[in-house]
Amino acid sequence: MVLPDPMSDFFSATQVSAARESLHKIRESMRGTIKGKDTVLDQVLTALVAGGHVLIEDLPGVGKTTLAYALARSMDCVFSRIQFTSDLLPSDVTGVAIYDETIKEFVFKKGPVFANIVLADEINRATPKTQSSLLEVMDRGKVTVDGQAHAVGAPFMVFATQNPVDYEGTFPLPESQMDRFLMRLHMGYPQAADELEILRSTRTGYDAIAMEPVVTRSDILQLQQLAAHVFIEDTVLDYILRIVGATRTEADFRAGVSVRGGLALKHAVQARSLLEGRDFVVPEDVAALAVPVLAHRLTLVRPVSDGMEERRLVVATLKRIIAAVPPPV
Amino acid sequence: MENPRPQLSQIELQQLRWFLGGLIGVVSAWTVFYMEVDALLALAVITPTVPFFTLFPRFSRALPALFHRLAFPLIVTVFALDLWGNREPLPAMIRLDLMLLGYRCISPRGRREDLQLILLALFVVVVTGVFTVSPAFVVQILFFTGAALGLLLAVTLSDARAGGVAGNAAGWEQVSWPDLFRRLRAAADLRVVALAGALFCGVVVLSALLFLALPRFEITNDFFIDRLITKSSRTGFSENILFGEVNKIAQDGGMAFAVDVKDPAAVPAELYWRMLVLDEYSGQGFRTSAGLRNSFPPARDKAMVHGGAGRAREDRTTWTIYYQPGVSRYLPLMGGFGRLHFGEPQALAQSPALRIAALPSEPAKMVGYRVEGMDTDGVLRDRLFAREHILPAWDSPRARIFFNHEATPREADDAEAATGRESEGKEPTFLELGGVAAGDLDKLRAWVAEIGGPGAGGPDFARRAGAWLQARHTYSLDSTTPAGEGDVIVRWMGSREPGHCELFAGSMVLLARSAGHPTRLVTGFKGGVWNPTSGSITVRNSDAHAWCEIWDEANGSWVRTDATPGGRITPATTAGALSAGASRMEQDTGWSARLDGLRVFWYRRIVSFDQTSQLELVRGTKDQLRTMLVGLRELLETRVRELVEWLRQPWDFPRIFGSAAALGAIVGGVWFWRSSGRSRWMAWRSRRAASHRHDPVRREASRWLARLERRARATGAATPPELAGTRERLLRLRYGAREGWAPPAEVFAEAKRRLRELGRAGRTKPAGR
Repeated sequence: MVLPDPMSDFFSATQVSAARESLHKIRESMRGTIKGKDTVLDQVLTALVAGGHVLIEDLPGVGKTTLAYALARSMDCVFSRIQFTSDLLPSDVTGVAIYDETIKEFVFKKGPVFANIVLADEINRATPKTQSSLLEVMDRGKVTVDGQAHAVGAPFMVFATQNPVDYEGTFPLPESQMDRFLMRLHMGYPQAADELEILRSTRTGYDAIAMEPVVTRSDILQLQQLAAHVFIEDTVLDYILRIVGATRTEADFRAGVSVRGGLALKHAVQARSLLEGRDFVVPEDVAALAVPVLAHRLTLVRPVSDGMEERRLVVATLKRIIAAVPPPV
Repeated sequence: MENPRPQLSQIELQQLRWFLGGLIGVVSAWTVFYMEVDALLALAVITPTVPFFTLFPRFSRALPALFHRLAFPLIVTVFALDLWGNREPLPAMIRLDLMLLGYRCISPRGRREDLQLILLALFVVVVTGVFTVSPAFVVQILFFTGAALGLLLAVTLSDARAGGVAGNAAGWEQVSWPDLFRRLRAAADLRVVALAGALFCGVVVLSALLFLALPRFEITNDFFIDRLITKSSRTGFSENILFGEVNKIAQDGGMAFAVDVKDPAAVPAELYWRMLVLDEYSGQGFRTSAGLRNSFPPARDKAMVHGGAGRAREDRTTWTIYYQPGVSRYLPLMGGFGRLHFGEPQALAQSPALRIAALPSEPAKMVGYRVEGMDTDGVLRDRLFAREHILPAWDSPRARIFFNHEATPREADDAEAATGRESEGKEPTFLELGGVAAGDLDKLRAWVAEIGGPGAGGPDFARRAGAWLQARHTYSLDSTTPAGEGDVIVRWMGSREPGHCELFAGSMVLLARSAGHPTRLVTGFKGGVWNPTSGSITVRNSDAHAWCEIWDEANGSWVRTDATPGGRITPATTAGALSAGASRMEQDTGWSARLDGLRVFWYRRIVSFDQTSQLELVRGTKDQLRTMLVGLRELLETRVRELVEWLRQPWDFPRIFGSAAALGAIVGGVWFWRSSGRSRWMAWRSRRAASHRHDPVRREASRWLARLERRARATGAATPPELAGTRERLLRLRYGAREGWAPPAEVFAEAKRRLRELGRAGRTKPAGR
């Protein structure tokens, strides 16, 4: 895959079709494992191409871990899983410097975060201190220990999961941490036919998943660079701006979407366009991704005791805002 | 990405609001100069302060909180004291308005304060405009409207940008005006500016049309307040004139009045606009004696038409005079008049004997009046004076024949009424030299003897005395009377000093009275210039003049005599001189004349626009339209005839070749336009588009996408499969990078073709079932 001229927003049809082909391969590869979840797969691929991280909020046992693992396997990436618990320490995530007797100096021992696809399972069970250990690596792709920065894998993507029902003994993610996630997704139960297919399989755990990589890591990195050059016309940018602005003046929200949120939406719609085989963004991309990209960044003025209910209200209000903002014609 | 047009930031919008607010404040405050309101202190404070704070807004932040706390109570207190002390509500309110305006201009403003400022400024501008009815009002209201609309737009944009949150952006006081105006110029979309300008002009034109079309109402001039706030007289045309006062008026170059003449060819060579007759010599000047005042009946009831004692009823020429405020309550007239029309009911005092007319008080705004049958020859017959002072046998056949051949019942009534009043008071003093000492009287008699004695009559003596005076003195506006004892005029006559018109006229009066000829001083204006811009005569204050009228026993009339060098000592009597025509007048073509022309237009078409003018305008427009339609029809008929004749002519080779070439050129032109011209034109405009929003290709693609969407809705499918490719290409034109575009014209042509095909298919399907 050849990258476009950095001075131009236009790239050739060949580049677009090559990118689409690569993404199609990943999608088809994952489909073999994740049944009946095409929308979620597309959103995950969008997040991957946009270089973002995903927060999956759903009940246990709906395939969150499998999803992350399948993605990692499809791309020949290093997969790592961290089970977040209340006694987990930041060094358990990032790594620690230990004294090596043989060479008589401290040596940095990399933590599980040094992978390409990191699954932070039940992230809200860890203490805020441990949660915040992910801030730097999610933002910059680096871990700094003892003043020394260590780059993690590239591409790098965090899949964080949390249970939206069982909140006992958990530490809700702070807004700064939520803002780092490009999207919040819901898996949901599969359709009956898909679930039947799952039941028929003899596989017992994700370790037993046998998948061959269909793209290389460098392909993914090129896709990410290509997505950044997808053209966005002024009126579409204005559409994004108007949606973001409307969340800031909405009385039901405590605060509107941040600038980072607006940028995240822009990157996400660029990635989606590439997924759709286009080198330009259309307003439908914005409307399709506004909820998954923006909803987790918003909180209600009047707190609701039930987390599920709060999410439902936020999404409903956000959908009302999106419907009220006219798309460019 | 193309560079979008920059937008003004919240801080820049705030700075623009500050600037516009200051501008509106200063300009509206200055309109008070047009009114006689004692607000010099407020204006003296506002004039330097507001521009200073406008240019350096950081100082408005530096004002202490105590200033803001005390400002309102202080302003209210000053207003209360002003009202209590002066007992004049409107001037006090204007002063209050100025204080509030000044405060608003120097204190930081939010949206509410900006709106307050506009309202305060509007109050002053409207009050000034309504009560002065001056052309300057047009400029003021246009400027105010533009600036206020600009400010409101800036306020709206600022609010929208702030998302409805009140308050000013921090740091807006640090302003660089050149940078702001550069940004403003960069942010301004010329098309939007042109559209706004066109809309503004449209509103103005619509207002003008409404003004012309609305029925006329007669509004009486009964505003009691206008006297309180408009400029009072700045001239010396009153019943008591001291030497030098007329000369002082002549130092002013402003317009005194403009005159529309129905028949410019009938304009006389000598224009003497009489305003006041003064008979009593005081030693320091002339004044109207009690006896003469008694001959001047008080103003009659209000009427739009007033009859006069003029004799030239057969004269069809009418004179419409637009009389400026601040000159005098006496109306400039050249002599007696037949009828005098006002635009609205107006009380008028007039003396048939003196041929002067006056309003009850000095007009506060421009007064327009039309005069019919005005005497312009400088000879004023006076039956009353002749009967009582010159012709003892008034009832003699000679006198009856001499005077009654032109008398009308109205004149007779006036004469009787005047006679009744005269008998109650003193007599006019046309022969008295009350202010002259005995020694000076001797000198006067000696000079009369030197001139040649009383002579055959008043005009004869006037000619000789005028020549004698002009031989001894030259004319100068900067004249001084020699120091010494005795009468001023006698001292000046005894010297060789140059003099102004009052000294010449006063000398003539004293000499003629010494010789036994009744004489009186007349003040008014002499001359005027022809303004080709407006097609009217402009008379300026610099034309202010004083001259005499001497009694002509032989004809029983007062004859004008102007002893000032440059003037005709006695009026010309030849027909040519009497009616020289406007074309022989001095022409005024400078910028001031053009401004005067605009002013006359304002008076003619706006202020004095009555129902008659309205009907004339409608008839004129109708006639013009009819003429245009007839002309157009004739032109078309001519062209069709020519074409038919041309077709009937024999067709030889050159004609066939030429016609085919012309047809080919037209077809070729259409083909070129449709094939590539239109797309090139669109591409050129697209490259020049300032933003994507204004890109004609993107807009056209948007229109075609909307049509596709309608078609999709009609078929019930998301996008008809036949149109998927076309939609993809249109989407690329609409939202894609320019480099990836297919030729726009081809894509649009394809969309058109596809939609047409789909439409045809849709129509044939039901038939096939």
